[in-house]
Amino acid sequence: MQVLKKLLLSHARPVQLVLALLGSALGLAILMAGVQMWVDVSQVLKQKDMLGGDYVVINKKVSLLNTLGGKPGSFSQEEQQEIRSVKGISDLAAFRKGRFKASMELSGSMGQIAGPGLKTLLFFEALPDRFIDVEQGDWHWKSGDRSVPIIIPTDYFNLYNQSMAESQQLPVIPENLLKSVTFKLTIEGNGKTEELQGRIAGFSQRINSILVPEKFLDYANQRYGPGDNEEPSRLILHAGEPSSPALSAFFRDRGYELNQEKLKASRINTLLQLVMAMVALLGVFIVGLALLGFLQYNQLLAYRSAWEIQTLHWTGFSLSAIARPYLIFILRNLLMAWAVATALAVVLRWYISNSLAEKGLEADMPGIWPALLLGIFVATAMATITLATVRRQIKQLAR
Amino acid sequence: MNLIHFYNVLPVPLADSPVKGNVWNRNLVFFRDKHYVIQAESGRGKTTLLNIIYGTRKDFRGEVFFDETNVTGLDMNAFAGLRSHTLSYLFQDLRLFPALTAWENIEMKPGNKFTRAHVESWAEKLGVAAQLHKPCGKLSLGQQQRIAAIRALVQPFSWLLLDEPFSHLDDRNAGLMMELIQERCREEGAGILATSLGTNHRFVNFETREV
Repeated sequence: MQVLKKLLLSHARPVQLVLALLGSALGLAILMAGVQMWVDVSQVLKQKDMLGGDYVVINKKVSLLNTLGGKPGSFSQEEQQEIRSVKGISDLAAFRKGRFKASMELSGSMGQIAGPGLKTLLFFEALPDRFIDVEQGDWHWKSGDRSVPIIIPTDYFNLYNQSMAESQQLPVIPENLLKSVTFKLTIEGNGKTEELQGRIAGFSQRINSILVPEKFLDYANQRYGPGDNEEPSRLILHAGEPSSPALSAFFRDRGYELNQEKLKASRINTLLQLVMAMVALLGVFIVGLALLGFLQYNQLLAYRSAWEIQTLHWTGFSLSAIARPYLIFILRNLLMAWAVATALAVVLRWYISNSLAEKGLEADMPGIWPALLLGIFVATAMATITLATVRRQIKQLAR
Repeated sequence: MNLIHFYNVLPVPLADSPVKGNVWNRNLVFFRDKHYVIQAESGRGKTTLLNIIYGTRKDFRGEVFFDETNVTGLDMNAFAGLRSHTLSYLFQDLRLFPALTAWENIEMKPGNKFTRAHVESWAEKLGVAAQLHKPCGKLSLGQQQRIAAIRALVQPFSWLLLDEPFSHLDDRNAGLMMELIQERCREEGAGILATSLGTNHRFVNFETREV
């Protein structure tokens, strides 16, 4: 009813309203962007680093002594049991070695572009699937499959692109392209040879090895390997906090080595997520303040119309009829704030993913749905709280 | 709603002063087919009586019944409903919205069942037809009182509450307004509860109650 709107909302102060709404929009945008960044960064780190989180690779120090002694730096069953029982280590697996010869070369049109001779000898290792974080569809091999998924270290890939390609006048290959290329994979041993197709299923920053699925390694070792069991020389373990003093001391005492760089990466990862969490927290704080501002604005608005509210009720208007103009006013304003916040968050997200891509951190970004859903949820919560407060206030003023 | 029953009702603010008259702290019934005038000097609770019936004052002892219904069981929205079809009130402070025109004030009244033509004929009779399109804030108190009276008469009602209805009117205009009020009350078969400071020569055939 137009008359009610005129009576109840004539005290609206545009400047205060715009400030309150700007605050709401800004807070909401920061909150949305913070959460989206957190989701994005976790996703990017996960994709960049399949063995993400708190996985550490250890090996024994290679010294002249164990080079001369018959036993190289391998881990016995007893040693593996001991490490498994150390507090803070939740999972452990041995790197299993391929005991066959393997070589890979570019095939098809890529081979023609790169020219002949891009052929390399390879050495495969395998880990249980639970240590591999690649999409299940990509990381799968069963007996009889001609196509073998392979994970290579990011370092190798970068070395090729950044140094070798340039110096040898070879083409630079983007990640996605490399994933779509099939290689000719030849494995041999025991006087037998088999030709298969290799494809890159992913890149790992932490595992400095070329990985194939365990099943494939079993199959190839059985057919082309010597058939004996060798103790592993490298272990991967999962620890809640691999850089804890207790674990460090244990590794040092036993003469085990672990890559310090990886620990740094784990710390940076934690730090980055902490920063994102702080940004989101700041968003929560600003949203909280903005909500308070918006709430008080609306309370003040209703309070300025105290006489009108009472008179309307005294002349027979129901409380909900009196509340309706406020309801529309609040929803309209929050909708505007939400729209501005969403636009801001989308632009901010676009800007951040662009600058990440410039730094070579491009990855399949997850959708912006987490931020949008969060925005809708927070705006709805703000609307619910504001409406409930104003309704209660109208009831008090109407008496 | 045919009966308004006061059972030992006493407004809390009056609890400490000696009770006079024949309204407070008594078993008292108002009948719809009668007209009553509540008479007293200022501060004896005349307006309070109307407000207790109208549901805008809850600070009283005792019990009030509309027919069989105890009013303490009626919530704010129930009263909002009653105010649009059962109880009509001409407030002492008029309560017109000053920024709205007289016509807007009348038209927006919940329960309003009359056309503009009807309202114009009443305004004509009361001498405020030219004021209908003016903001109420620009009208004299006497004009406002007549507009407020018209607003009180456009809805259906079983009871008409009049709080010093002629306080801003001269004798002639008060007479004209009383005619219109009587006419509408006959149509609705409504009872009247009016208050007066004492000069009640307008209230012919009204039963007097003193507070």
